[in-house]
Amino acid sequence: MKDPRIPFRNPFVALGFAVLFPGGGHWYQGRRFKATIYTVCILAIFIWGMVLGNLQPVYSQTAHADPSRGFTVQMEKGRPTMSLSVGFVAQALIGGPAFPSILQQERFRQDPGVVERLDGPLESDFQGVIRVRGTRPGSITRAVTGTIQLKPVKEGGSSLVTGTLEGTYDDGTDAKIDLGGEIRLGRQVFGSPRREIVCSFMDPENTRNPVGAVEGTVARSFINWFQAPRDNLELDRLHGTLGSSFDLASVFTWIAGLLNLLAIWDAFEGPAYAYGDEKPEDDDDEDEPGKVKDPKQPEPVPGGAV
Amino acid sequence: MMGISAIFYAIPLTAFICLAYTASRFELPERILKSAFVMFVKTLGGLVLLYSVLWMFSS
Repeated sequence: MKDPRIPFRNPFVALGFAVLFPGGGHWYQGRRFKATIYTVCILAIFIWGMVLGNLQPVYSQTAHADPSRGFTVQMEKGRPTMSLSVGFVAQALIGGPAFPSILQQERFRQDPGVVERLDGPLESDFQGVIRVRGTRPGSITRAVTGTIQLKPVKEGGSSLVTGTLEGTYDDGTDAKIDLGGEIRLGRQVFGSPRREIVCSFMDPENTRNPVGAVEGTVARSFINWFQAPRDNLELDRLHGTLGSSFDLASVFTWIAGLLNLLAIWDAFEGPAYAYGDEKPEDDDDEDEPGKVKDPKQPEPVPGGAV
Repeated sequence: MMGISAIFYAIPLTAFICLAYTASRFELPERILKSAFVMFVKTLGGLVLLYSVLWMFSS
């Protein structure tokens, strides 16, 4: 039974606010002490988890690459098969802070996949390798990091691009590569801050003859990766980079979501045990034969109300 | 990367969990704080006991 001393106002509206934001229902009801506890504690655990996991532990779906195509999810055309991330069931309970996952899931579904043209200039940091075709079967591969600058050969966009990659090879020597030819960019919406890129480069003496390609990653805009679905390859990368911090981050966000379920229920139905001013129950002493009841003790009020 | 410092993640995390959990059990601020404190001490005590046992077995 709801305690009449608690100002529930409209419990359904409170429920809505509680789902939108941790402690939101209690702020609406004017239960400020509990609202502060819920907002501070639950959001602190959630934000702590997000920071520990490089803002990446929350995502609703895991995408699976089709092994027969031989591409990563980023480089596949169309929509890959997807499955629900089990952890998201707990994370979603935090409400508003996890809503971007749902939005990104829909954007991911509508994403056509690999991008094989460039509509405007692209400048970004680059991490990856350069593959040069050798005279014998196989290729020479060298790791390179630096800055890549590309632009389409035609105004308004083209599948052919020109540009440069300047940086350093893994042995410390300078790298300056003139790029030109076809480009392939990973899908626009994907749960990784790094976007895959493959771009050919030409023989300087014969500009129609591609002699190799740079393969690596460039930066993806925050709005296109935050809480977006990702594949197991990206999860492996995260585990490789962050180690057990990523697991800890995921657990923190799960805990925050599960705690918010308690807050949502409290906003709708009130505290689970009692108001908190009840006296501990006696051990049925009054029922003992021969015991005289103290006439000064007040009769208990039904429902525990004062 | 985590090492021994991971243990200290438990202290603020336990405090937050205890506060949010007991807030969902009672309405009175004094009762919430008192119950949260008791729960916090018991939980940390349990963790220390658990870590001690694990440490004994691993040494």
